[in-house]
Amino acid sequence: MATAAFSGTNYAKRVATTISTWPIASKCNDKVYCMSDECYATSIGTVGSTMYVGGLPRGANVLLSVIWPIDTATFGEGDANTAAVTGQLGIVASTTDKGDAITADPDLFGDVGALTTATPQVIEPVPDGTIYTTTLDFALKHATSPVMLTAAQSTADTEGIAVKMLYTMGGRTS
Amino acid sequence: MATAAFSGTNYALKATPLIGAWPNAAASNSEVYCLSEECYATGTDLDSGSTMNMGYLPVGAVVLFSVVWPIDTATYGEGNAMTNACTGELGISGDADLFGDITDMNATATPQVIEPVPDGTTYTTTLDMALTSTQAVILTIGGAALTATEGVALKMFYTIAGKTGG
Repeated sequence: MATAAFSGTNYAKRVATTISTWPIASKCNDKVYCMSDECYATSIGTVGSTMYVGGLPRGANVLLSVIWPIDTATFGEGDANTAAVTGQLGIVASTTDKGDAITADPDLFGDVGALTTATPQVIEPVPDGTIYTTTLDFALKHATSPVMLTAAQSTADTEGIAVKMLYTMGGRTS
Repeated sequence: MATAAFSGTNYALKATPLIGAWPNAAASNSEVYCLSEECYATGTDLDSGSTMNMGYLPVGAVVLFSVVWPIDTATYGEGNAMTNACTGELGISGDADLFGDITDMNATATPQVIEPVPDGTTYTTTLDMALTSTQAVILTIGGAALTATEGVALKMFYTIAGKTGG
């Protein structure tokens, strides 16, 4: 074998001298927004419970998310869950105000590891290979509220998650 | 000994009523941008020392930190541990690790947060690392050979020197 030089998807598009072949800003270099939320269980939430966190606008292109376990007693500071709760961060099936169907994709924004450590986790999007085939092009067709679907263990009363979701906006140029 | 109160670089600069002494916004509190890229290895020339061209940063970019994870074409950019124990340096031509050092990418698919590496000459702090020209971001693979169809996803968060608002 020998060494080689490989080009990234966006790098290759930007080698061109004609602007029409360049990727849109939100897919390569763009201003970042952050959606922040905290969600606490108010009773024991068995496996399969849902935690709704904030909302993302139409066109949001999620870059990555940071998530950590919290407890009402510590006001949002990282606080390990009592049980090894895991989860998926994504969207659930719903209908928009205009009647458009939103298809469920439970792990669209990533898989959450056991919340038994208080250290924040960085999680990456999970393209499903159909609508989304790359993490570079993830613009949401409809505004939606992300949901963490809990797994593995029940969530204790007063415990929950803090989430920061970093995203760009499809169509924006500055 | 006793306790003491220490001041951060920017905290100290901002402890004055004279705006002329304040730090450039890009070095302290500014809007954040993100460079996104995916790059896959192809073919049979895959040795350690291969390079991956990972998009471009504009003149004035001040990189805050970067997040990288290993990927495979079969999983569309989701984290996927590499076959071999590839490490890496993320930088530019002439300063191979300016943006940070990447540890073993076959041990885990978990995203790694990496910090800039000032060289002690041009850059002596991570607060003030503005690029003086547009630069291609280069990932130099170390540790082991790449595997075809495997690669790296990258998110680089940066401010831009000179900008003061949207």
